[in-house]
Amino acid sequence: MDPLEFASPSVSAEELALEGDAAQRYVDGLSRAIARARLSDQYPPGKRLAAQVSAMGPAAHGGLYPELRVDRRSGLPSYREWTRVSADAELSSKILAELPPEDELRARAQREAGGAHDGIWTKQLRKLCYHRLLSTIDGTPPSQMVVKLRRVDPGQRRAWFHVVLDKLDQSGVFVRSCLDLAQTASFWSRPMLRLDDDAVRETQALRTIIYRLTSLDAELTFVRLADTEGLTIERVIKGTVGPVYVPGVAMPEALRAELPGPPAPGFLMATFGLDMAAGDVAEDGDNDPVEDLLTERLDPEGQAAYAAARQRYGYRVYKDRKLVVSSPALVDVAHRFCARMGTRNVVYALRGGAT
Amino acid sequence: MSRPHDVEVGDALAELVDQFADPLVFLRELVQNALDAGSPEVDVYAELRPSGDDPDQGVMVIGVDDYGEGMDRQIIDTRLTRLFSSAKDGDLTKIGKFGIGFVSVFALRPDAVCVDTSRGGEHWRILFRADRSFVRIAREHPVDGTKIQVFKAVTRAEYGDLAARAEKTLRHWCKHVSGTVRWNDDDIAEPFDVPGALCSVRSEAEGIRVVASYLPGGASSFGFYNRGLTLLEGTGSGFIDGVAFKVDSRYLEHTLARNDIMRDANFDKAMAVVEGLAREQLPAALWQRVQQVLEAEADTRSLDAVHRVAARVAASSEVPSQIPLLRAIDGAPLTAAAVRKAAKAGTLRNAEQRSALADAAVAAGVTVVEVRSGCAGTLALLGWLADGEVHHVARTFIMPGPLRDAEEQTRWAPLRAATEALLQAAGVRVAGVVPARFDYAGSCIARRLFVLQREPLSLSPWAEEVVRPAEWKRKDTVVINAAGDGVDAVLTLAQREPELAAYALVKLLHLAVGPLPVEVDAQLCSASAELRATRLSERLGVVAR
Amino acid sequence: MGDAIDVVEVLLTKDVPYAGESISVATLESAIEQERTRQDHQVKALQVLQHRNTEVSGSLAREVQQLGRVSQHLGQGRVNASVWGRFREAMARIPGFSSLAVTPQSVEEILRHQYEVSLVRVKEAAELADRLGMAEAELHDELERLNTKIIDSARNETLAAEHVLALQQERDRLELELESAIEPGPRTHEMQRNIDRLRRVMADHSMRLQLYHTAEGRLSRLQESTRLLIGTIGNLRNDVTAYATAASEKLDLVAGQIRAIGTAADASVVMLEMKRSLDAMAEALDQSTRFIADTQLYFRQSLPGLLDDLHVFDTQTRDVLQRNLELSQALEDERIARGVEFALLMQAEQEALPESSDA
Repeated sequence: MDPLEFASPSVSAEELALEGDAAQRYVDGLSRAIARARLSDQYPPGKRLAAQVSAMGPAAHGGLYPELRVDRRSGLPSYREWTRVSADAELSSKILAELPPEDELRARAQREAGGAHDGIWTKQLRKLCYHRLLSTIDGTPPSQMVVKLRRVDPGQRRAWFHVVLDKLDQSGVFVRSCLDLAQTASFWSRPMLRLDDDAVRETQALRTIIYRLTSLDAELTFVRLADTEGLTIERVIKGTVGPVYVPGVAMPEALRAELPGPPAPGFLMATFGLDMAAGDVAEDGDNDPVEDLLTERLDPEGQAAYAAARQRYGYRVYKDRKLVVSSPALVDVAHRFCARMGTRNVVYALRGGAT
Repeated sequence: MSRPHDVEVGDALAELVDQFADPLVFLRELVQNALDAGSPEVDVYAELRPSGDDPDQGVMVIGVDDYGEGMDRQIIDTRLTRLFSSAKDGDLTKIGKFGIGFVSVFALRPDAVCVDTSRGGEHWRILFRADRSFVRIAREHPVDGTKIQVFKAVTRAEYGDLAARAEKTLRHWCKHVSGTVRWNDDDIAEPFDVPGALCSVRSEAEGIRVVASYLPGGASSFGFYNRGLTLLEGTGSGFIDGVAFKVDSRYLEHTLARNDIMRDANFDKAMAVVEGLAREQLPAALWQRVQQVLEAEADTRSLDAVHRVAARVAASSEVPSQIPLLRAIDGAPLTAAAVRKAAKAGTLRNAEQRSALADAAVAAGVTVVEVRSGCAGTLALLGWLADGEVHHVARTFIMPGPLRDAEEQTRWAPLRAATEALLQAAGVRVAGVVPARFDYAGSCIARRLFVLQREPLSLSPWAEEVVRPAEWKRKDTVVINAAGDGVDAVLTLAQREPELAAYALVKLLHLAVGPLPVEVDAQLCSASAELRATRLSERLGVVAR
Repeated sequence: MGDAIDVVEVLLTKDVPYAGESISVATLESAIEQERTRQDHQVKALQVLQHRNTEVSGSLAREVQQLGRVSQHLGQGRVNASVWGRFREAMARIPGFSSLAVTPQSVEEILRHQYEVSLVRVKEAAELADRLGMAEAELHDELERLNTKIIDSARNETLAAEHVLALQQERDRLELELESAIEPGPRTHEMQRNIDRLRRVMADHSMRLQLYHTAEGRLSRLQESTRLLIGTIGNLRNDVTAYATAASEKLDLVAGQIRAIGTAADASVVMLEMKRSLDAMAEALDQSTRFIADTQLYFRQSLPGLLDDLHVFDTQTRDVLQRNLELSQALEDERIARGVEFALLMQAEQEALPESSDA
């Protein structure tokens, strides 16, 4: 067995296996949708994600991988696919340096085309093309945290930071958590961030808190950190890529109701959520047609606890979402779906539809 | 839409916006705001919308769309419309600092400005009038980020001019921004390089990226950027002489008037990085570049260009001894060590290209460096490495060539024999007389009548000294320029009267190096007459027999 | 007589259709030398790949071991958590109670990091398998080339033998005729001249016969060692493929489990904070505990096996390689000995051939 074609455990109920044209159609549609969404810095990096998604298609890897697994919950490629692209990209320069020149590979691949060998040269030629493509994209792994210093006030022993964590969340969507916070150095509290000269580093404790709370509302992260000694949270914003609705992926009932029938091949509706908890949000609000505010789902006791927290820390929450649909004809469908959910959202369409 | 809400903008604005020398610089300010709003993409466009019946008149719309965090009412009221009220003050993750970005749109003296924006569930349209008063209207539908449209009534010709200038301005200020800036859907990004550089080095660290280069001719230039947005660009040696550099740092700031860069501790820190590169890595990269150009057998001009800069850099940095920097005429690479060694031994020369003489010099152990015609850079580098002037191989060596063919040899035979006999008769002892061609490539003896050589027609060192026939040595061969002045006439005469011709030739040889004393002339004359008589009598004797 | 001379002329001028380039001691030696150099390169390349295998399998083993340690850490941190510990953890996330926070590193993050590192190692192993595959394919091409050369040599040997026999037959006939000639004359001189010419041509083709025969033998031996090399590379490739596949299968399981951990160990615990129901809390804790136990069991069962496997693969590979290298050395010595022997034999044959044909 070829070890590159990794062992394929049976496709679970949570994953969709796409092959050939279907995989390519999905990859094209999704990467274009991510690019079309014009994602701001509060979202996971759109350009990088779109490029990584493109590298998952058969057109990029030439059939090196037999199938593409899609997470049925989020409609995004599974964790395995993202890490595969990152791992491949990490090895690209080494692989490219060791492969024979293209002319030689082509000649050998041509010779073996009718031969009895197992197509090793054809495979290497494909690898050459694939890794050349990978070497042009940013294959940074799905999880990374960046901390930037915003301001320092040495007099007050206070520093302001901007913290960003990108993560493929366990719920299958891609999440970016952005935090603006200030930290005052104190004898009594352990710092969450360290500042040495110009280098800023987060502590494991801060990283862990943000990391494990990505799948829940920004508000939870806000509250969780707000009571930490020495820390002032200004805002927490979570941008998400997904869920993406394609045939085979469960979609909200309200959306299904707006479609004349089961979604046709090529149908795609990508959603990009923004969830913020911040002191400068004018009013609490929920303009997300896909996901409610978590507190709305709590029992009265829980809601009261969070109402008290909002009062105490002086923040408000707002949830929003924009959508990209695969064809202009679906724009109305998207608006009607939003209207059903009581929201008004920005909707973009891919020009000429998804291929 | 809700009820409009009017607010006056302060008069300080008028003074401030007039500070901008180019009214279109507002594009830079808006792009800066867009980047600060977290929009990695910015769409800028211009269009002419018809107005009225006059086809030559219209309304120009310049639009700037971003997809950032947008603005709510509070931001609009407290920051957008007020000067010096930036929330970004001191924030190292933002470019803008002074809170004057947006109002710069009024430098264009627009008829109206429309801003559409959404944030936190609020959606607003702000309409500014020509007098800069504005009305804020609540929108029903959300917008993604902030969309700004600047309206100005123009003629078609004015539109063409303004649109072209807008594009130029945008490219100047935003070509290196970290996000994507599009002008009418075209990405204007340019790589963060010094265009036309001979060689470049880079440094990238958190918050700062630097590229330092050498330009042909050693020109200097500089560029300062914050998150890729141009702060200051220029040419000339205002910063580091002979180096062209670009530095992009989120810690750099422009002055309030946007016409210079703040010379603060952050500036010093950034410049220290640039200077470090220029002092250490850049010269090293140049030597590597010289080697590459040599190995790639690039055209003469390219090689000369890098040599020109290398000669200048050599003066202030250590030249690696083992990297090939020059090329011998046979194509072999030459390191600085090899050049210095040959210079010390006195065996270093240059030549434009291979020739019989240059090849003979190489075979004799001379290091002949290729210096193509007009390559002052290569010559300068060679001179620097040799620590003095390096002479052309054909100015310090000679190698007369043989006659064209056997026929010419035959024609010369009587004159050669007669001249040798005459010299002997006149008491001048030499090894022989050999006719030759002096007009070989690069010859420094083309106009000479003769030279003395121990090994005729071989390579020999050349010194511009006058050796009179009386000083000629027994081992010397007199090599005569077959194309020398008067030689052809003597040769023609020699076919009939070899002794007389020999007399004429020897006289020419004497006269070529100084005056001919009368007694010597007389001696030569009588000797040639005697030789002639002897020859004739021998011939008669043979006939008589 | 005229007919006989015609036969001689035909034989002497016959262009024997030998395949390939013309053969001589020098060309044969150079051809064999080329083949040997090629093979030496292959052996060196194999050594490099074997070295890479040691590195790759070593680092893969290290990373998987690390994965095992992560599992052990999880077991200590979670499975034995007391009731108080569970309560404290749940309370830690309720607004106002966070000063009690205990924030061990996210289980999900640790496993993900380890998974990602291990995945790169598995890919490196897969890459190594591909490189071995390429080396194997090149050696198969080499074998094919050697086969063609051997077939050519064998065919040429037959051609040479046939031609030598034909020449000998004609020479014998002429010698007999010469002996039976009554007196010397132009005809006998002509016969003697032809006998001499035939002898010269025979010497030439006899030498070719020898050379083609030798070439066939030596090429066959080269082919033999090429086959051995293919075998070694094939074994190594199979080994690498086996451990890469085994590791990737396990990683796939881990990928699935990471999701489960994300849900069970982190998010579910966080959900407890929301106090939606005590039942849900109890269930989630059970689920989490059960999962950790399962994971521990999995690691306890699978890891030692995998590590042993890796160890065995490595030892086996090294043994096979060692054997192969020893074999290579022996072949090399044998080659040299035979070369000397052959040279002496050739010399003797060359000297002896005209005399023997006189006999």
